[in-house]
Amino acid sequence: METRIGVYICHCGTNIGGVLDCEALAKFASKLPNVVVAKDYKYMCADPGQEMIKKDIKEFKLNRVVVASCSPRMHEPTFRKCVEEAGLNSFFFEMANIREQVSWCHYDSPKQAFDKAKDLIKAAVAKARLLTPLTPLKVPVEKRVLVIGGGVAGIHAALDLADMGFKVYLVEKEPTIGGWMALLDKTFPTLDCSICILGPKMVDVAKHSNIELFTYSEVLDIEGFVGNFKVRILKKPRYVEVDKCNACSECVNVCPVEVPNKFDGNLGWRKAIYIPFPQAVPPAYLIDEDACLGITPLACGKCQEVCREKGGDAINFDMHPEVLEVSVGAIIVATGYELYDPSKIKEYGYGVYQNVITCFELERLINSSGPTYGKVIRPSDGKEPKKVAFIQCVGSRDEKANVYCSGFCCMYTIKNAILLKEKHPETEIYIFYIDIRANFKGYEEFYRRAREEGIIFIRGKPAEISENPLTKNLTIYCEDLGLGKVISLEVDLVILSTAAIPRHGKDELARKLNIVTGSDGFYLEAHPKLKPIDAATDGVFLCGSAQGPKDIPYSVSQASAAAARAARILSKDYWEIEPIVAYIDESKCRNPKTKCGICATKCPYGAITVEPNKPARVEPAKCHGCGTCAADCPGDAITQMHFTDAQILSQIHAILEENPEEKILCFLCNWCSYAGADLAGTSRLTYPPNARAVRVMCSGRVDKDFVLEAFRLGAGMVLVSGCRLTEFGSDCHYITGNVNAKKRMKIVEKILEKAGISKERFRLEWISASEGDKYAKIIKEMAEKMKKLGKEKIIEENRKAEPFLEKILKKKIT
Amino acid sequence: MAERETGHKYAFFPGCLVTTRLPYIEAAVRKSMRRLGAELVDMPETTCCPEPTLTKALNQKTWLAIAARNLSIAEEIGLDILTPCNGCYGTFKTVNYIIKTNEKERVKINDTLKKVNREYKGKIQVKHVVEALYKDIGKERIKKEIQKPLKNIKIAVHYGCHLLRPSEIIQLDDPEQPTFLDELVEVLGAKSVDYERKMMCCGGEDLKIHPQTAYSILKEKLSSIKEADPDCIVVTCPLCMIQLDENQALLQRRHRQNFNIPVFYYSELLCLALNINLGDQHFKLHRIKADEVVKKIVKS
Amino acid sequence: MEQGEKLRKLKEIKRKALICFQCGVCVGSCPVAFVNEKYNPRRILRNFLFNQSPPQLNLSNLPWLCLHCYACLERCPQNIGLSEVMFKIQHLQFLNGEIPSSFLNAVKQIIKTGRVSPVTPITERRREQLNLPKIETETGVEELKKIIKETGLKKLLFSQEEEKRSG
Repeated sequence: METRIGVYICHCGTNIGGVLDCEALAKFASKLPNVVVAKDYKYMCADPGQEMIKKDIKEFKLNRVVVASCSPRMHEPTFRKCVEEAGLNSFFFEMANIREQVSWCHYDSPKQAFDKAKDLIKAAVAKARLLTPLTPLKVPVEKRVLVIGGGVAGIHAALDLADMGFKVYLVEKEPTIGGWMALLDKTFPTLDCSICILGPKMVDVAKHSNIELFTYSEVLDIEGFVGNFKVRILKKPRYVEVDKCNACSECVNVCPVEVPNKFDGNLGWRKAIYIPFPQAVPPAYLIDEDACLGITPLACGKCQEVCREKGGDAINFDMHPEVLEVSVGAIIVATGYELYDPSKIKEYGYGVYQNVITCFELERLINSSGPTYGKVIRPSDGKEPKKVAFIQCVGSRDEKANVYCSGFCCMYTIKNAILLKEKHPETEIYIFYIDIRANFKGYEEFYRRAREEGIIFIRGKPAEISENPLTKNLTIYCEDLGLGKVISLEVDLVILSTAAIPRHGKDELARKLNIVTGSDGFYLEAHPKLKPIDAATDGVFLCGSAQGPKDIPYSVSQASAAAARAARILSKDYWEIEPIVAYIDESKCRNPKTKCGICATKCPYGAITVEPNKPARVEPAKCHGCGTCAADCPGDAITQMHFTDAQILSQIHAILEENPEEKILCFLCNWCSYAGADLAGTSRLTYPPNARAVRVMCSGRVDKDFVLEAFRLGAGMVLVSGCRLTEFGSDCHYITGNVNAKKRMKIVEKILEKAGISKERFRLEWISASEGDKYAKIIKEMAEKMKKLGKEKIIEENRKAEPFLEKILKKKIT
Repeated sequence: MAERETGHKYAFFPGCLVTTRLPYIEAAVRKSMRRLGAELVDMPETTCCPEPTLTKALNQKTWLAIAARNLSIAEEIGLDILTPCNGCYGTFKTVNYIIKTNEKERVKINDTLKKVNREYKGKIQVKHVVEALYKDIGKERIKKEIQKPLKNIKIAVHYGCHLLRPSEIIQLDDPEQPTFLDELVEVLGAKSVDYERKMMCCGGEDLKIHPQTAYSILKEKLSSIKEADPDCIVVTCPLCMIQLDENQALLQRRHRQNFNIPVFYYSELLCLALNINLGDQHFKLHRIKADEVVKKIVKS
Repeated sequence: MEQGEKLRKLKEIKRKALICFQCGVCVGSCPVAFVNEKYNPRRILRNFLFNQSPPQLNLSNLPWLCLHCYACLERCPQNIGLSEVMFKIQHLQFLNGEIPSSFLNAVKQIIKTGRVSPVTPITERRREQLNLPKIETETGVEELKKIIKETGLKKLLFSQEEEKRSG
């Protein structure tokens, strides 16, 4: 079918029309190949403008539409809808950005601005010629959800979703739900009893008709994608049948085996048959198979005897691990945190000095259902301490342990100090800290209350603790920064505020879910600001401390947020996926012959599977459309829809058709650098008008060939720019697209060096959406450098490089 | 590098302080090592290791080159270098670490050494006397040779800073909770007693700039040791020895601080346990009288 | 003299001062600070935040009190390595002519004899009593002197002397 393009130039009032001659631009456009009609109008985005397009589509039988107006980041969705309403596929639309990137930033040089607008329109028309129709992919949605982790976050997410009417599978690896919160005494800053507020929620979970609870269970593996996950769950044997056990505790009395109770921070003891704590849900006992003498071979069985005597018969030694399979549409990860082992910090003597304990151990000592029934004692002699010191940041904010701040330790230390002070007002309490972090509602007031109650805060990180071998008292050596001198303080008991660290086994779960962890080891969100709950994989959401240390209110808020994000998917019958995904041409894929598999290693989402002797396969539902795989495929077998090699090359050709040596060709990622260039315009920053941008979704999409081809065509300068990438991490919207771009561009640099292209003619930069000034500055610098090199030198270099570049590009094609 | 078949053999670098001021340490080291089958080969033409505050602070390049020159002498002999001094140990360990891990520095250092017709390739290891005893000769061997176990002797162990720190370079034991020297003491039959300021520096480095500070640190250290009521202190460094022994005597004389805790270099106690005769004059060279403890051991 | 070198060192030290988040673990670990209130290594480093070029330190002898015991280096949560930084500060002071004379004399002793402590008749007598080998005096000293000249320390020391004499 004949390609018939309509081009529409928008005046945008005087925003564009005041700088550019829009009528002349329309005239220019009308002469471009395949253009059937070209018009200019005051406001294209207004109703009359849109009606005009719709009318023309019918009247002139248009099958492609180009609008030259503002940034596609502004009105692309508007015009896509417009052409769709006129019966065209919405992907038969292309935009030329002549406002943010022309009239707003080059109003000081209207002549060159006009040339630039022409180039951009030409490029848009060139791409429009090659557009193909695309339809959003639709996948059916399983209206159930998996919640991994039954702490306060997991409990809330599960209850919210169950209340909305979705079936919830809640998997908890411990024998009870409740997590850390169930083991705490009071909560800050209100001092309400932890289990009193959590207990009812735990019971709600057990009773809810929409929640199926799997305690003492683990996720074995996960397959599938958003809307359609298959999950296998391993249920470990409790050896006590939950529905038959009435928690009478007769079995405990006869059990001969005692082991330390980890639910009490190993300060107390439990039997081999036990219940983690009185309020456990489900309220049933279980047998610790490592400690029990009865399981294999049966040698004891006293518990079974007494249970039968009492008419219970709940104990069953023949239980086996069970594997269950469920299908879900979304997954919520609420696996929480663990505590850092402070014995690694030898100068504090934890594990060597008896009276140095952790915050969690103190929490269990203060708790009335703890091993001492709420009495705080020194482990060395069981006496009540008269002088107590808390040490903050043990394993946090420490380059040798964990660099991050664990966030909630300041407040729980203050809480425990207040509790201790209220129980025993005569106790002297000291808190050693580096900074106090009290930045949520009621926290600062709570900190003040602690000082008012007589707790002494000392700014300074203790250097070491020594123990008096006779009294077992501890001396803390520390600089008091307030005084500016070293103090040595003898106390009876030291409590270490240990860092919160990622769960053991987090990497294994990350592999199963295809999500990633950050440099701190916690699960990484898809975007730190705008997608703080979503994981990198669609349909997987994070909440609570699994994503980073959090206190209770923050965890609960996130849990509700995760439930809402999951419900966004679960509430639909079908889930639509943007069709700009990667597509593999099986005949070109080298994997069957060479075991290539490069694409799979580049994909940040695990959307590509590579099996031996088979072509690589893209799971479109998992693909986010960054195009990194397409750029790195050595066989050019991968195409990113709507950003195909041919489409991008056509833009490059169009832009560099005339006077290429005077132009700076910029490949900008949609999310940051293109937005940054737009911002330069919005802020009316002027910069040299010889820059021309080609928009790609991600800097990872920029193929080596694009840069080489640009130079082969004689480009003056080339810039590749993506989201910020620093030693502290990447802001890439596709996680690691810019990292791959960086690696690839290092190779480009080497090729260009060999080709004899001056180093300064190619530049790789990271420009964020907020750095309009940086974009303008870089273009200025590049223009200056280009001027310094001189047109002749550039032409000369290009002439010499051409055969070499041609050879490389040709080799690639065959 | 050390030749294991014919027993242990080292290039011996006693260091300035041991050679000139505390030769009795050298005597004890030589005798005890010989008894345990280790051969010490003297190193000709050596100089000060050199002392870091006097050279590294003034010019890092000088410090590196002089140390590398000393190391090159051991490398030429073909043996690992052995020193009884924590200071020399720290210098050599650090310079050796730099040379082995930093190619650029190694080239630069050797450019300087070329001017004196030397080269250091970084092929040897640096060992402290107590490290060699613990790692090469071993507790078992020592135990076998003991004739007079140090029964009922309570000892306060002082490691000294540069035997352990910076731990990233030294990598001999934990810098905060070390045990190997305590183990070596207990092998002799004595009991190592804990005291609060065990990991504190002796302060000896400050003698040349601010003696008052050095004495105050020493007082803190000795007070803490006194609380544990040991029979003696054991050290592994001549500067620690000077500080803890000679300056303890000075404190006693000038400030009437009567700690009265004898101090031994580890090898001296080793000699006593191995029943090696150090001669009548030996312990007279200690400033704090060591006779009683020595008698207690010899009598047993 | 050596202005470029001074500024370079000053910048290196300042970079460390910028990273420090003032927890004081170095001071609490420091045996000198424990007994001598005037000496506070954290404060010495912090001063460099505000030290503009050209470097005028006026720190008196304080930085030379550092024992280089490395206790602070082991414990610093921000890996500042204060013991090592102290060497740099001392170096800067040396370039500024702020080196205690006892240090200068000891350095001269090393250069002259190859040893930090002298061989005296008492030494020799003692060694004889203990049946120890006789000390070869002044061995290696010539090579040592050459190294000191090659590495530039000699020049630095010489200009120090000059300054002292004229100042």
